[in-house]
Amino acid sequence: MPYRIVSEDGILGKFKREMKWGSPKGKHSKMVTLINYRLKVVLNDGRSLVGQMLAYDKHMNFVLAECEEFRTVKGKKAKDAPPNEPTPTVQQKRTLGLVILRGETIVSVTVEGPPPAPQEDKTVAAGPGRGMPAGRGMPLGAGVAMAARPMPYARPPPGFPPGMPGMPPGMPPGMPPGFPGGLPPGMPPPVGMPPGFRPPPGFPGGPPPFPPGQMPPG
Amino acid sequence: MASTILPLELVDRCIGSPIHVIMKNEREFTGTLMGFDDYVIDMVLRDVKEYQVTPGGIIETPLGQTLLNGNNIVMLIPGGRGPKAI
Repeated sequence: MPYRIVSEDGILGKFKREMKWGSPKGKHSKMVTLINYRLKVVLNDGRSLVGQMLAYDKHMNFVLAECEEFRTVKGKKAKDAPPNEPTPTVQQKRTLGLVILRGETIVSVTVEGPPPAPQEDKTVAAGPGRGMPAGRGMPLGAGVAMAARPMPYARPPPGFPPGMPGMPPGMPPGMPPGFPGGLPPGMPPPVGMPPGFRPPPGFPGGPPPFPPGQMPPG
Repeated sequence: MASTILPLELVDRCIGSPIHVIMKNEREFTGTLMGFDDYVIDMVLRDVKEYQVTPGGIIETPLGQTLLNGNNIVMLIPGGRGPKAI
């Protein structure tokens, strides 16, 4: 027997079952089963395309994703080649990407591969970190508080020339700006201790821990 | 399962954006898609460049606004910049 029957309903029946094709009752029931498959489409101008079929319509127009085009182009025969030698063919490949294919030009469609697996394994597993908004300054909810201008841009109190920043709160009135220590201009700083220096507790002869004229809190 | 988006809907979404058209022969066009019909996908393109792909190289011809007969169109590549960019 020259031929071996693969199964009871023949090679095509086995192929249909492998492809999980349903019974072809509906008009497009075969095409639906091919959606998202990687197909090889042969066109009537010698091109063939390989891509994942995302969509089709009643004209058999296709949308192919990650599409590659293959063309066999006649190469040039060498000048000293015998005349009966077939002209060499060069296969050209281009990557086109997303393609809308006109159904009129399609000659045949074959399955090149199953649908690409969803890329879940490429995502990194969730770690212990916690996502939260970060930013400078006030949180986003502080819009009401921001209705008043911040201090450096506030209007200076009356008596200061315009454009001068206002004095910080708690400054005694009448003090000119620039002398927070209360020293008149031209006076050298007090000798002995650098400003801001405080001896350890119990050290005799040190200056009082608070500048004169101010009482310690409490 | 019905397909989520039909091919012609995808062409419709390409209106106003660059597109690369491959014809049945060795001719290709790029341009900005202005409109098309849903019968044979005749197209109107703006700022068109025509490419003739020959074994010796690609001959580029600038055209203005062009009406392209859909009978000879094979492929449309949304956002395609032409055969030299591929």
